[in-house]
Amino acid sequence: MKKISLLGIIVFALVLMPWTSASVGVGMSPTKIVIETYVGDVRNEEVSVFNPGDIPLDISLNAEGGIAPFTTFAVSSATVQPEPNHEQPIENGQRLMVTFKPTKQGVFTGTITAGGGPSQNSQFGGTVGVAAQVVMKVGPAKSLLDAVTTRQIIIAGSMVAVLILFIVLQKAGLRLSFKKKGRNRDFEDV
Amino acid sequence: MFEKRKLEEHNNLVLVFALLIVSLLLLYFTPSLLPEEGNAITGFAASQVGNLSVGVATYIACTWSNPALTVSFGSSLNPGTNDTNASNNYAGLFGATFYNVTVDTLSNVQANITMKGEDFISGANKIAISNVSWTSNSSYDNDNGSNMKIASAVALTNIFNNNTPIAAYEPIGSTAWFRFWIDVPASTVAGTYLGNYTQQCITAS
Repeated sequence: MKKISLLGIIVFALVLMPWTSASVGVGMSPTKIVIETYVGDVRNEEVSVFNPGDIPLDISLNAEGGIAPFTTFAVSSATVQPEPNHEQPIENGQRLMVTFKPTKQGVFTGTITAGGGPSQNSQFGGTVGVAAQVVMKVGPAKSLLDAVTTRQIIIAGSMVAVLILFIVLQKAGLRLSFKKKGRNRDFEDV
Repeated sequence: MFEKRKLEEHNNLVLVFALLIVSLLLLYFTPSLLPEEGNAITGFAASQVGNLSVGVATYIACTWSNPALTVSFGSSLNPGTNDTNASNNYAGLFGATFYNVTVDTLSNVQANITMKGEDFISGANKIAISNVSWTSNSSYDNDNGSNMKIASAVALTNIFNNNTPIAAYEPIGSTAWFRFWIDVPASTVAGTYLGNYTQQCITAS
């Protein structure tokens, strides 16, 4: 009876064993990036990649779609360890910087993908990944006048007005003088 | 006399700069005098506007079964054979597939899961990826669904197939199962062919 029970347990374990094999996972935050910018601007966005699977994974970042020509990565790959507690907040995630530098006007869409795999020499290997959607609205390059704010114009105008006022008053006869304390010929303070 | 005039001009210059600096300071520290939006004097009763803020974070994460990363169709297929099963199509209990992808619980958004592939290559020879077909079942707890048969399979493409995803609006924590088959064209040259596919989870929107 004991042998039968033991055999049953072994068979049960063997059957279940494939179901408990490790899983491979990848995650990313945020899931969507929307940027409004202009030609020539440089925008840096940080993405976090993490591993919800059971084994470490080499994750690489790629840009796809219309945003690809404008996108670069400071670090494009990282080895990410699995999340120990499988709950928020993310503990072993890697923060990677994405730089967008558009060179022409328009609305561009694409994805930033974080992927891992495939296994070496696999007959039909799987690369797995997640992607963040990116929408980039690029306006024309900024002119110098566009960079000046209303406040700056008012302050500059006030400075000019004060200067003009002073010059006008001076022409009208206003004289201001300051006498500096100094030594007389006998070297005494006055 | 000349020195006196020089002294006066010097003093005047100092006074000008002093007045300019005072003007700057006054204007900088009295923003209510500037016609900024919301601060204009209208004659109506004014009320204090408070700022409200909220931070939103979005996460998308998927996990794949280990067999899903190393799919094999066998090592000695004959040219001209069709609908050959991937090795783990029916390897599970009661013929379940071992190939699956799950929208992980670390996600806080639903996911669309799509797939693309690349041709099998053996030296100068290739088997087009369109010879691989697949089908999926995104119903939870149904890893051997009746729709996961070769008859409902679609060919794999070299771009993500958004029209036929593995799963659409897949809820957090749910799993999609899939199977693969391969056709080997009759003209295929002998060799060991290696190919790959890519699956991607993206926010369902």
